[in-house]
Amino acid sequence: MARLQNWHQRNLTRRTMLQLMAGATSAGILSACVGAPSAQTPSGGGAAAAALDMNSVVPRAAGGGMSGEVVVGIMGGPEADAHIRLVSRFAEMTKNSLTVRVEDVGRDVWSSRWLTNFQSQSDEWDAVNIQNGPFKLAGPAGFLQPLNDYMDNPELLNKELFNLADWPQALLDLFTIDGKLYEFPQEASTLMFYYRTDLLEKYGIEAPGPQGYSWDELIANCRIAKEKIAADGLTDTYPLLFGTKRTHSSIHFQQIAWSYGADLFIDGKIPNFNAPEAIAALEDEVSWVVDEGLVTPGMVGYEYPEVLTAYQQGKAVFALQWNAAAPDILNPEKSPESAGKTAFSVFPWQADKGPEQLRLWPSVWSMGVSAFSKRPEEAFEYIAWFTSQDVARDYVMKGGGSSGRQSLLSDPEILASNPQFAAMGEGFKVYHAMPDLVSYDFINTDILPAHLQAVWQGEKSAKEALDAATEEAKQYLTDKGEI
Amino acid sequence: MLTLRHFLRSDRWYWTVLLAPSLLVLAAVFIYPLIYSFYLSLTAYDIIMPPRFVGLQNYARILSDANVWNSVRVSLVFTVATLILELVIGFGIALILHDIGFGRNWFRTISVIPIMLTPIVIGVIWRMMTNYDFGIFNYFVTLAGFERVGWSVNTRTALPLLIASDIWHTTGFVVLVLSAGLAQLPEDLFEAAEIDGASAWRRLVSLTIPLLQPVFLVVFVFRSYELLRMFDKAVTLTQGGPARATETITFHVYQRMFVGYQVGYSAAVAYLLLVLTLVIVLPFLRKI
Repeated sequence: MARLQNWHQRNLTRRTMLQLMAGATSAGILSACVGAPSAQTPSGGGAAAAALDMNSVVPRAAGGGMSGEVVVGIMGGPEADAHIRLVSRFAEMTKNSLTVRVEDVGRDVWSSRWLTNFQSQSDEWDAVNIQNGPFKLAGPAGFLQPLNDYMDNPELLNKELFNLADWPQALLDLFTIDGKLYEFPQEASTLMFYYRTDLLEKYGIEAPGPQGYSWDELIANCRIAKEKIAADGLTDTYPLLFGTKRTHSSIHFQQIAWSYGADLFIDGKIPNFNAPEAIAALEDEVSWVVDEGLVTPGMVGYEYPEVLTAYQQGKAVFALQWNAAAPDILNPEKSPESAGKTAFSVFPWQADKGPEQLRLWPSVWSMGVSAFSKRPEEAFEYIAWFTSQDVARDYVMKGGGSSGRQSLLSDPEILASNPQFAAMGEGFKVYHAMPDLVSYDFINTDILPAHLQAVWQGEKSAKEALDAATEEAKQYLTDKGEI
Repeated sequence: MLTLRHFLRSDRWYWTVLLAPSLLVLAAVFIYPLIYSFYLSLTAYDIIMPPRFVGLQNYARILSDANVWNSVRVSLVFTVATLILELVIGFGIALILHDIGFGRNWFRTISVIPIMLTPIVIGVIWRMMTNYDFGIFNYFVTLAGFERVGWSVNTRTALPLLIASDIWHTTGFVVLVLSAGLAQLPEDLFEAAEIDGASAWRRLVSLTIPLLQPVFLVVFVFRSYELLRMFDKAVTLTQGGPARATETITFHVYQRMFVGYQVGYSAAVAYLLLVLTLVIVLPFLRKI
């Protein structure tokens, strides 16, 4: 009897389990077919139009005519922090009907994350940050939506207030394909020249003018500084500081080579790193660093954070560093050694070519609308608001970088609290065009650094390394069918 | 022979139904990607244009790609050196912990703490500690009166540094597993050997090591394939450099895939890693 009861119970259990499984499966299928209720309200229409706030740069969102949540995908860092800080203000403006969630992804995994996200046509992100380097792929691949139609819709954008022309055309061109703009610049960066005013005065070195030192002037001053540093008995302080870890080695090389007048990509496509001017530039750079010891040997392992830390600790008189470091360096709490004693200028230039020579590597953070977003208009409203002049101003005043908007770069109030902006404005004028290659990123972050680092190790001469880098880059681009 | 009637009357249908969802999930997340990535390895695919079938061209290209063979060399040197040192150091620590009475648990806990840290964090910490100008390593080096060392920036020291960081990180795992193995060894055997006059060294060589062979094999297999696919520390500590001195196979695959957008080619290199791992690990897996 007991066995029969057990069997009965087992039978019931199985049946129950199967019923549960079948029920769960059916529920799953049904819910998938029906789909989740859309958080979006119908865009446009009388009600929304009636609520338009034409004084806002994004009238429909400001008028409460949009609802739901926009998700922003962005690489982690101060640029993402700015979004996190400002999204509540956006929501407030929309009367909390349209909110924004920021998903900031770690820097080390950002490349794989955005690529797999787009490759899988995920609608997880509505607005996304794709910098000018990866945009070379993301743009032609159709991962982003052109913004022109949205910009032309007066319900979505108050063009006059937004003032697209406030950005230099060179910046907008980085995100333009066939006349269509795909992203708005959030932050334009440059490698710039930092110098310690107190040490220059102490060592009797003349400060650079608004256009910076020529290389000859810089090296002459570094030699003076080296003597004085040695006389002071400082063994861990160097005249000049910059980083050549992986991508940084490539960026520095290209900037110096451009300043020497090298054409590194013939017709914007064919690698030509072994141009005579480029070889001369690299040989000079090696002689300053290796032969003369004007830069710390640790530079091969340095990039942004190490250069920042070393400069903060007072280990250099001059530094070539990104503008993003300026707020920290000027902050007395974070940088007691350098705050109040640092001034800025433009990246050095080669005497033969002059300070107007285009030589700076453009690094622009920007915001676009994902091609797979289910809320493209809402995403557009957010990125237009975030990159608008008023918000960009707030961003800058609270320690963010430059949006690249010219009006902000010359704003006296901003300049008073951000003295680096004057030099940045000069730097934007000498941005060098990027090569017209989808696959440039790999050359910049893999091929060139590997060969340049061999030069720093003394394993190859400048010519040998640049010959090899040119051949490898050509082979890579041929394999990719780009040349 | 099992007929449908027998199958339905037995418990097997019940278990089959229960297992089916898991098997389907496994097929979806493991077998399908494996097959699909092999298909991709036979194509030229750059993300923008759809994949184009090229047969074995990617595999043929690997043969003449010096960067791939450099990454194979780096991975093998890293794996062999790390594995040997981890086994020797881990076994030594496990023996000491087995024999000492005082503070055994305390030392054991200390030795496994690094395993709980993520490799990314380890890489960043080591990168700071080995900084040329303000790292703690060079602080002690200069304190001892020597010149500073470019730990992570010199092609001769970068790979040994990566090996050292991994030993520091995962030797605790070896200690843990070998300690468990040592605790299971029959004490009477060792007592008999001691009575017969076998020295401590003799007991170690003739009893402890042979008896622990299955445990050593488990450690070897687990650590081998983990070391062969090492990626995280190479990214955060040395970024594969300088001059590709620490560029492991997985780092190379990552660069080709996510920066170079050579999907087909990177899939082919990934299959090379799979074959390499199987060749090294499979013979030992069968012995466990």
